[in-house]
Amino acid sequence: MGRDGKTLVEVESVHKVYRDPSGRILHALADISLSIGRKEVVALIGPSGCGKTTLLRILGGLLRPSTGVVRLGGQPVAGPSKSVGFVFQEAVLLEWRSALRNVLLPLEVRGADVRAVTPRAQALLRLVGLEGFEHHYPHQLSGGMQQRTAIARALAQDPDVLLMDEPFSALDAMTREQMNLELLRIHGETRKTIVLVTHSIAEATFLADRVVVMSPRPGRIAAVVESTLPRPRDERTLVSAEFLDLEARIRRSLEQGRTGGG
Amino acid sequence: MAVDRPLSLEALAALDEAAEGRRPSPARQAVTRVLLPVLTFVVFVVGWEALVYVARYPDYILPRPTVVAARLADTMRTGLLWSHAWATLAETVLGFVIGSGAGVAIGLAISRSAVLERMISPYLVASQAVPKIALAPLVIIWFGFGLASKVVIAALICFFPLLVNTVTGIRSVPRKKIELMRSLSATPAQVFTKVEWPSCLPYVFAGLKVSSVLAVVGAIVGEYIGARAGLGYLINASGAGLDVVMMFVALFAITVLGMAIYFAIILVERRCLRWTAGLTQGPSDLAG
Repeated sequence: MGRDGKTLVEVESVHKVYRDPSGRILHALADISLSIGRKEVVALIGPSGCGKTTLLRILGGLLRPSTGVVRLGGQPVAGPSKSVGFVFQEAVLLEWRSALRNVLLPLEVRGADVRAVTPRAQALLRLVGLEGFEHHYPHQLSGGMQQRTAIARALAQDPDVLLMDEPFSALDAMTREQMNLELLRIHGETRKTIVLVTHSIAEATFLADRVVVMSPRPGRIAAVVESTLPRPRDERTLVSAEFLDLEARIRRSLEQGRTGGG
Repeated sequence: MAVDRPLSLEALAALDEAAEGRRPSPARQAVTRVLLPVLTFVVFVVGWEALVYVARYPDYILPRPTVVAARLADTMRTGLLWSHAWATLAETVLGFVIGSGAGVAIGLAISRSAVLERMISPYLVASQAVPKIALAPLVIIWFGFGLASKVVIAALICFFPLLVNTVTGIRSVPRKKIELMRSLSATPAQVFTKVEWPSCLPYVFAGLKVSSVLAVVGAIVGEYIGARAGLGYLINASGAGLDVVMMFVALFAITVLGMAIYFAIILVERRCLRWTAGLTQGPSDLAG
């Protein structure tokens, strides 16, 4: 197992119900319980509208659960905190700030002395492979580079957990695969806990220690598939028999979840 | 050119572009950028001169450009032009600053507070339907023939474009960015200074460009109606005496003044919005 046994995130019987703009009541999440260990990479996968993004936002304190509790390092999550770094589907960079100043943003918001923390931001840009692009503006960066900047920004306040909401879905297939390799490398260097929402079975298979398969609305956990792939993983992992086997198992769980097997 | 040397990529690209006629040489670029507009000007002035020469219009109908130029030099030497230009400049700039500032301030207030918006926006829209120029005689009665009345008229005209653009700018901030700031536990003040205001700034500048031109119009119209100095007053007074040459001198000065203010704003915009360099599309001038 990639886990060391220490639990970082605990989700206890979380339900989320809300009203959509037309007034219909939506049961987005039903009875979600899950615990995530330190340094673990967990992928949340499921069909559109299964509430995986909602769950991620609840984990990060951007949404409140209707009932149930989320604990982070033993403390109940009451709102956004600096122990959580978000990476969204799009990079959401501020166009008027250079890559470096985008990475500095979370630190500035926390009232850090910009000059004192600049070396740290530069080191993070180096970590994500953007050395030499510190003073480029977002529109001068490719989509993949923008998302790298967003990852560096999410790491800026040294969070315990990185929450990633389909972070590579806006990228083309080749860049996406490259970013997956990069993320593994970054995880290897930072040992951050990562919770990743994805639509891609291959991405979930390749990156995760555990894949949480969710069923359609109301979203519930249909299955949790433990990865059998050894680390470190690289391009060769993608063509290994073990990878294909695991991918097929996850696909089956997804199908079972979809047909209401749970 | 017999030396068979591998060409640099730069040279290859230049050759290729030249062969396809895509990029003209730097010399030709300079010609097209500078000389062509100058050529238009020369043709226009010579045509004008020739027309008056052939048709023998008297100076009180259409003076020749050379006559206008001579008078322009004359009024500049005596200082007559400067005193009037100074009056108009002061009115325009003061009115522009006050009106634009109020527009931005109230625009920000409205976009902050839904209650405030409900309370005053219908009246703001209604007030926009009143042509400000139609208010000018009233403003002259209230504020007199001096500087103040012209400043008020210019400010009234500048107010609305900035108000509309500021509100539009703040509203167009993507929700994703607000959510990002929320995930960083930013305070409302930080959301404003780090996200909302910078996103709004291109809209504010678009409004400033529009209102800078309108401010000149406001000042001039105010001077037409009642003033003791200014380029508008000069046109009006010269017109009454059929001194058409002086009217042309004043018109020329107004044009230069308006352009100077407009380009000053563009200069400031370039400094403030350096990050937009290379972006093809900024917000268009929304209030026109």
